[in-house]
Amino acid sequence: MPLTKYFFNRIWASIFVLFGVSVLIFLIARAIPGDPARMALGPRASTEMVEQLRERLHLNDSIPVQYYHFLRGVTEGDLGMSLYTKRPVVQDLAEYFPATFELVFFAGLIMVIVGIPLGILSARHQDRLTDNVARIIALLGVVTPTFVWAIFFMLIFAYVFDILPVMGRLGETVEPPPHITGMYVFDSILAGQWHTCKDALLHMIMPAAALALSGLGQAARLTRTNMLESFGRPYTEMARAYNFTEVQTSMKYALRPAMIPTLTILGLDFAVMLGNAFLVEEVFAWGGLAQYCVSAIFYKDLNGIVGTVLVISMFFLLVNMVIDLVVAYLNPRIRLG
Amino acid sequence: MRYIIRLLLVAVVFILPATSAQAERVLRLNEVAVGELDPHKALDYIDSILLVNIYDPLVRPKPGGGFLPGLAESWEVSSDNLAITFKLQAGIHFHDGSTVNADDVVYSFDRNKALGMGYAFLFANSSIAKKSDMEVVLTLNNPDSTILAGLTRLGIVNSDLVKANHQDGDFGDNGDYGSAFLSAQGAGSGAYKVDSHNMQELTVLSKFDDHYGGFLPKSPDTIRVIYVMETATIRTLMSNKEHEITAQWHPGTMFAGLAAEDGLGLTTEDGIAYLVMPIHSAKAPTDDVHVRRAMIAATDYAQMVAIEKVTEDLTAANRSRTALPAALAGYDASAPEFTQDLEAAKAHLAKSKYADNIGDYEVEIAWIAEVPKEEKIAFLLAHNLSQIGMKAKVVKVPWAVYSDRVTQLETTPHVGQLYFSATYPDPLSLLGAYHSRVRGSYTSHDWMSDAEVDRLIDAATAEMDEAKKNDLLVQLQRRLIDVGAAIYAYETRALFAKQDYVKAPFLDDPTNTVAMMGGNWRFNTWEVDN
Repeated sequence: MPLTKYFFNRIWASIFVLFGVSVLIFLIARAIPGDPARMALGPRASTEMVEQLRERLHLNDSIPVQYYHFLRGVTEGDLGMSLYTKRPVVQDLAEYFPATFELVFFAGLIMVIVGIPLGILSARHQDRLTDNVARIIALLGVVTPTFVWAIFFMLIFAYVFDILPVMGRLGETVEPPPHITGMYVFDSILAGQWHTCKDALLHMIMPAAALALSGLGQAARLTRTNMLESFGRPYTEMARAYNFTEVQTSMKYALRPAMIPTLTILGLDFAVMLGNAFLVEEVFAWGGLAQYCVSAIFYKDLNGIVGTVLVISMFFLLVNMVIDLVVAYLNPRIRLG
Repeated sequence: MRYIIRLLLVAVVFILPATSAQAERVLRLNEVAVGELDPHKALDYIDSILLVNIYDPLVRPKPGGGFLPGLAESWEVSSDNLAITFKLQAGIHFHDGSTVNADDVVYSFDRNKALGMGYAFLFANSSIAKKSDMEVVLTLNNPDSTILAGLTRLGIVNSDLVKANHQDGDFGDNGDYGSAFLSAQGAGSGAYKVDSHNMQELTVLSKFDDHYGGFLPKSPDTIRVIYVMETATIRTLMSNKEHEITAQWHPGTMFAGLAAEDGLGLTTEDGIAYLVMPIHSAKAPTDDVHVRRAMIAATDYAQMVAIEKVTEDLTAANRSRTALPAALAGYDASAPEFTQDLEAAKAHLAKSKYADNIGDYEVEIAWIAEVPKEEKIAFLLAHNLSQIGMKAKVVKVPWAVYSDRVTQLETTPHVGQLYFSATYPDPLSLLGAYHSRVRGSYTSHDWMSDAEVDRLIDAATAEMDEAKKNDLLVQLQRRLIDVGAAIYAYETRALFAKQDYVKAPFLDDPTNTVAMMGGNWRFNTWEVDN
């Protein structure tokens, strides 16, 4: 199947998945106990005020009618008003998504640039000291909850040694860069504000590392396993027979096929982190989408919940599509199949 | 290897200069997200703190009761108590330099009512009109002694600025009534103006030098509110001297730990909140007043207070003696402290219609899942009830479910738990919840229908004379105890950890306390000596 057709098929499938997700989350959000209007207005608001708000939000209509209003809003780019922040959900998403995306991007980067080399080293030095150390790092990364790493890093690097900032996305005395993407590191680079960029990167180290460790461990273990399998394949034996160095054999012949499962898992991890970043965002006061989503659930902010889940779903589908395309590029037999 | 060493060196050089200089007086605090900037949507604690610093009201609460001039230099109540004329102070400026006038007051009042959010319910029976450029007349449908207290929460916005930022919305010619604008920007005349605001992350305020109320010599220049409640984060910041005062919602263990550190101390906000345990008065066996009185007498108040012990020297609760916390006007100071009296409890029980079969009933005591200490309180009460032969079942309920359950008589538990505080400086902000017409909500779920209680609430609401009103309130408190409306477990002391160099007179000295949520956090009355 040609790559373009493959790509368009995936987009069609994604639209149907998104529609299904929207119906599902729309229903689930309404099953959470509590009256959203009462929760938004507070316990002392009069019954009349609560009733007015319910009318304004169409909460007295049947679920299909409510869904119709929601879909009509979506076609106009309006996801309704958030009862949690009391402003348009679209505005909230535009503000919080870049913060989380930036965090997840750097966590993903750490997963790739540390996890994969760790796996390669483990495979090359199978059952030796390097492999054992890498195994311990990988296993600790996988089994330890993200928030424990977050607090541990804070304790070591912010409290004991005081070399990294405790929280936030920028220091107190640093002005945010001009808004271009909403991601401080990239915006400061685009604006040529190197001091801001440095400060944003310093603030990024602990949260991104804490968030990355679980996926990093998985990537390392998967890469190791697949590299070992590749090392036993005839094409690697052939490379060795042609007197290629061990590094050349590993990087050129063993790594490429070994990367396919690793890439798939990394892609999934990357997308899942967008929703799972909540605890890291909470510890480091990182005002992002994951924190917004959890708060929206607590406040029974129906529009906030649906909006966030839709964005995370879109991101999930997009990342999967990109990963599938990369895998298809690495192994053409997959797309033809 | 050379590359790795080089990389490490670059990293070290990159990281080491990460220290921040601090040239101005900064006050940093944390609170629960989100911080609502719009004064007419403000509801919670942090919203109230932002409100009292960014906006000025017509009148301000006075410690011990009564009101001080705010934007209004004086006010006059008509002889029939149905109209109040406010005269505005001349020469007060908004943050953009324009002058506060009657149009701004009228616009703010109408906007709050139209939005129907925040504390709009306080103005349901009133309207406002401009009398002259510097005078407004507030008209009431019925005499309402709580109206001045309600006005302390009405932030006056710069109407020209907000109107210029109306967007499309649900309010006809007023569009969105400036909702989008006021959720992101300030438009007030308060002592601090908004520099930046991310309602889930950080709000930065800076001193408005032209404020009519002035500042203390060491009042903070900048306020930074971070929306983070993670205990480890706040503990680290406090220890590193990168944070001045904590929120009150952290666990006692954190406060105890911080109190032991050099340069840190604890302070409290007393007398404006309490733990009330409403008793269901329309479901067997608590529908019998003698059973309710028995439960009140059986409660071990000393142990309840002990649950709130933080350090050897400090307990975050005071014994309560009536149906109001101590800082509110009309507080019945002559009432004795509640104490456990098991003999009296048994005597009450013997008089009830359930005296012979009380063991056949199980009293449901609910605690809110999100507030773990309520579990201890629920089990303590269950134990106390067992001491007089009553059976109790302790039930854990998430807040969202609880707030739903209490809207129906049948699903409301026999005993609930409610941390209740004065959100506006009037005792009726708490006692009004006992009126039979407001039953079936989170703040009112005792399902009591007592004509005398209703009469006293109505009379106190209509009484504009402060002394007479206070007499009625004392009668009301006694009546509530007589009819066994609730167990008044203890008065809560909101606890905060702060750096020693922070002086907060309204927190440090209980006689300065104003009985209004956030009312003690006017930062131009604070000092930061760092």
